[in-house]
Amino acid sequence: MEKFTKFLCLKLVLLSLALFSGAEETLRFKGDYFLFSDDHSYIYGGGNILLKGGGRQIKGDVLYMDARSLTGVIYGDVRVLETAKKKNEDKKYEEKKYDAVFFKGMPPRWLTVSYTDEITFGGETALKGFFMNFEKKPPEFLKNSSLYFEFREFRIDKNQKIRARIVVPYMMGLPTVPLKRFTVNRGEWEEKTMVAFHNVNYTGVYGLSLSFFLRMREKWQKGDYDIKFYERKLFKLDGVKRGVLFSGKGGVPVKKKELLDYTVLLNSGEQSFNLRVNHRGDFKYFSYSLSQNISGRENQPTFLEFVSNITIKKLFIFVPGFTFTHDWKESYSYKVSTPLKVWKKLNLNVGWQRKILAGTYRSDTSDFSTSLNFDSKIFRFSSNYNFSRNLVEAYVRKNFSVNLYLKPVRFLEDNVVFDISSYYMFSSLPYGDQTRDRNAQGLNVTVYSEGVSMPLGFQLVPSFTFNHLWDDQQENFTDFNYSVALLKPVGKFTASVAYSLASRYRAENFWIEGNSRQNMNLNFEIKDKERYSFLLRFYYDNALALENISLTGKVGLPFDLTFSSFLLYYSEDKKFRTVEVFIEKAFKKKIRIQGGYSLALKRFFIKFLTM
Amino acid sequence: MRSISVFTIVFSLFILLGSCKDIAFNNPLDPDASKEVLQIIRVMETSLSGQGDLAFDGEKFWKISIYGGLTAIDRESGTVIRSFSTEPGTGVAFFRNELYVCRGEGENILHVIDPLSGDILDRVSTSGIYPGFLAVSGDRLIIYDVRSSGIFEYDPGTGNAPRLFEIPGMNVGGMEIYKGGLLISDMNTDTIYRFSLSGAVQDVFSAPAAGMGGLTVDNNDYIYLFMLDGKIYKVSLP
Repeated sequence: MEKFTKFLCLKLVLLSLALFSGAEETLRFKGDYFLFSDDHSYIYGGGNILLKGGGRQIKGDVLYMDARSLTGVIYGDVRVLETAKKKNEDKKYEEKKYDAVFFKGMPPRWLTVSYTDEITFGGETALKGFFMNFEKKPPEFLKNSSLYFEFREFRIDKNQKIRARIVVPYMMGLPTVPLKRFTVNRGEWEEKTMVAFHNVNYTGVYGLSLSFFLRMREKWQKGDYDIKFYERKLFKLDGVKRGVLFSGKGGVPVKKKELLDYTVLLNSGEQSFNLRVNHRGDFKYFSYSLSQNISGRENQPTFLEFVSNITIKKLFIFVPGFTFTHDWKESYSYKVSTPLKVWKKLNLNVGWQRKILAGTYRSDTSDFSTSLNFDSKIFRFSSNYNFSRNLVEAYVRKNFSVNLYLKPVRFLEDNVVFDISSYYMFSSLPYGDQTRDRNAQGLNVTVYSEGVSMPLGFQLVPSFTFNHLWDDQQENFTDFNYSVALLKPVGKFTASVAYSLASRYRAENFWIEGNSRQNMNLNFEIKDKERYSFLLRFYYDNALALENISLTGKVGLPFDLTFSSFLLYYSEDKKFRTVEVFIEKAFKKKIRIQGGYSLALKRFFIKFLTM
Repeated sequence: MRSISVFTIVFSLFILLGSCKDIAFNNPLDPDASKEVLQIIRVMETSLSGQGDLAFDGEKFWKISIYGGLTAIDRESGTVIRSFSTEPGTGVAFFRNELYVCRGEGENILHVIDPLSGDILDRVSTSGIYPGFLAVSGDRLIIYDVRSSGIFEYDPGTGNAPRLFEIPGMNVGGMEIYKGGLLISDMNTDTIYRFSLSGAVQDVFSAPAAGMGGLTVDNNDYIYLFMLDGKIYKVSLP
């Protein structure tokens, strides 16, 4: 009954919001590719992004969106067309170009961004702060999630629910059974003060733990925290009998602006704490930050450290910054750095830092570093110089390097690719009481193919790397790394054999000496992108004798059940070195149960967690 | 026809290089001229890339990423076994059957993670030490402190952490205990330093290729160097 009443109230609030908003009720997104990470509650979109709704039609190349706060940004040749017309208005709106469009909430508030000599904002400039602090999470980061989904279109409806169609879920990086419809569950952690159960976990080593999520959404305080209770004594396990771990981050807002933000950690088991409080300010010509850390542990002195930073936004071509750190005792450091945009594609960074530490030991160092980068259509150039002087032990460490990378050269309809790079390096470092100088130059050539079609449906994938090093300390070396794979796909089944050879040679007067190592893999893979994948691999060592056999498998079973395993068998020992088995079951997309066993760790776990 | 040509070239090279196994072309007039150097045993491709150290848990590697994510990979093939979503990190160590992870600049906390379920088991404040890289020596953690550029021997039980030595001016990519000493990779110079635990430089080796990141050592004292492009070089030191 209580749930029904809450549900009814929520619906009424949303309905009234929708009625008074006057804007379109749905935002529709289309694109070549969207990825939603369940762990991060974040959506990435790439390629021909089209957003319709809120009185606008927006086209762009990339979308980043935090699903929890419904905050996002579209980048890359962004074109905006106003589609909402006022009554009796026949005016045709023109398409406008921007570098980015930022949106927040539902109905959405908009902020347009253009990068010229300086950043120009349009629309709701009050969103500037959100835009500057918005975190862009790339797809390679999101794909590290244990669970993520891929799809090509989705919408955000008037109830602020995100709904997608034809979705392929990926568990631990492997595709599972596709879903016709999918709703991103934003309701779990609502934007209000609340405590929610997160997960319960048991392992034979760490005992039972119970985790809760605490969200604070008060006028004077906002934050998200994890509270974990654990019990070991009851299960007769070693270590701390029982305890609480409290960690999280929050902020103190004043007039809708964040005055302070902080991270906090309290650990009853270790009897330790860690609190870091930050304050940031942003003005027209400069920005600053102040940070205070206080941390301690039983029988250890309390540690206090204050860090301040000021950055001038632009002084001709300089953007100088100054950082000062002090531990309220005798240790302090100061750092001056500035990036210089010398020319469009030529960037120079210069920095100097002095660190003086005192306490149970004394340290005094002066570090100077500079880097130069240039990127053109044909090549990429980078150079670094670092100079570090230890003022207590009176030694110097310095190095200088130059790297030149030619952009890949492609031949035979992109079937053969050449990568060439070269470098020069000088270093001088303390070696006992003396200094050791070293000059080294290197050349690296890699030739590879993405696959050459052979008769009878075979595919050949060769790769060759040549690396020559002239080193005045270790003499000259030539390395060859050579690999070739022969594949034969038959429907969902692929068999392949891969051979690799690594050699290193050294010239000694007239004679040449060196060594080579080889290995070979036999691989058998069966894969249905949506349901299962198994990879059986036979690994042969330098003598081409069988060394080990591994099997990696994953299968999506009915009733939201997923089974996965990894087995590693070593033929020399004639035994399994690793057997890991995992199983996961989802209940009504609300609760997941995960379980697993590792033979090597001799440990199992079982975990219940909310989705 | 072009395919056949490529095939012929590829296998000609294959036969040519394959004929030179183990120590080849030794100087017969002076066998002692042979110099013990860093030897490449194997090169593996992985699907990972970027900065972040490696750790060996006795059977597989763990790679932490500065973009977030902790990934277990097979040490012989480079195949990803499983991965957990974590906050960005720089250092990782397998200690007491748990994974210890640190974030480097700006945080004086060690995160303890269950290697089986990926759950965060504990978070420990390290007070005046800002851990950037981790290694294991007996029942102590060896920590590279970003704040002071020093190497500390940390006792997780008590929080005591005497300083061993300091290495200012190095851009550390990875750190591991090796034969009682400490191996540290310097990303500025693509160099591997071998220190004693008192701080004396015992040896210096060039990386077999440019762009070196983290490193680890297996139980047969083979060293695994993670390159920023995702390759892992299995090498041995003299």
